[in-house]
Amino acid sequence: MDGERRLARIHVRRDECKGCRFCLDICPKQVYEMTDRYNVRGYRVPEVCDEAACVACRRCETICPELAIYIEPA
Amino acid sequence: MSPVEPTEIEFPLDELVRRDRLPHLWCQGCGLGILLGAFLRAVQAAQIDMDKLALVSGIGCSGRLPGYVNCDTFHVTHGRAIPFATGLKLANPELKVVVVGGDGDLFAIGLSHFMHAARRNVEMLVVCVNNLNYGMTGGQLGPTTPLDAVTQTTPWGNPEMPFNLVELAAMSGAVYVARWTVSYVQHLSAALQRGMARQGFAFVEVVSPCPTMYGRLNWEGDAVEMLAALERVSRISHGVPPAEATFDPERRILCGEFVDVERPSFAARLRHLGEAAFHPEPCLL
Repeated sequence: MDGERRLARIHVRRDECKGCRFCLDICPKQVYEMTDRYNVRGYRVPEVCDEAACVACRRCETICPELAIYIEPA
Repeated sequence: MSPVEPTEIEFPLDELVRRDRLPHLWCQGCGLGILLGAFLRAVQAAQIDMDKLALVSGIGCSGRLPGYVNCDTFHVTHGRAIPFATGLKLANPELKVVVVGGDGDLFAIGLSHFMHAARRNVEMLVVCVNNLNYGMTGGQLGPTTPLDAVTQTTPWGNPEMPFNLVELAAMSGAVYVARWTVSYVQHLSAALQRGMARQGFAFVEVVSPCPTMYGRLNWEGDAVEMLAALERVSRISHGVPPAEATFDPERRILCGEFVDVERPSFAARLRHLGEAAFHPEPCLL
């Protein structure tokens, strides 16, 4: 796929995440990964490591229990 | 690799929730958050007027759901959401009334209310979040706790057979009965939409993990593992007779739509009765 153009911009409300990892688990493209960073509420949270790989399937947005993800079509 | 910056942009569901109340109080990986999203997307898709939507709930974690929704909400006593909802709907028929409750609230203390409202076909959607225990109070057994499961009140294993909620709802007369797990998010959203459109007593069972209480007491792993386990045992099986809609979390959970019929609502029957009272048939004596 075209490396220059993205299909989506991923917005994550990081400070509302509770680190359940459903997004990381459900993503078909390995967009998310865990780091050793914590958010302000003390949770270790998944982070976007490869936004270019996102195909805007929106599974993460749909499954997130915190409603903390928005996949904005590019 | 860079972390995504904190964002101030508006998310699609923002106008439907009480933003000042988020993040919600539910645990890491609780299915209630998934249900909240699915419900809000159903409301959006059906273009329901938020001024005409009323959510009623009882006690427990499920009972907290309406508090996050930007419409009129009614948080009442344990097990009594359905009688309050009945009064609300009959007094103001223009409202779209949805009841959210847990397996304990709706099927233990609230069982009789559920069955009679279904029998009468009072128009409302009842959503039962079935997490197999009383989660908020620490994980005690409830009417849907599986046989042999460990809970706070069954430390040596549950000796009671659980209810099959789909069978119970169908037998009581509900006109729309569906079961989904929180991993079937889009199906769940569609079922909630159909339930809200139904002019009668609609019931959707939502099977959800409870990682902090039931899951921990039964060594079921973290939220991701519990959700994966639910997916492994679930099958879609529309139209199976309700008594055969297997609910055995260890082995098989049948999901889908099991009842989808029409019959006059309670309000319609009351109206008919009212008309008959004012214009009685002549008595042939």
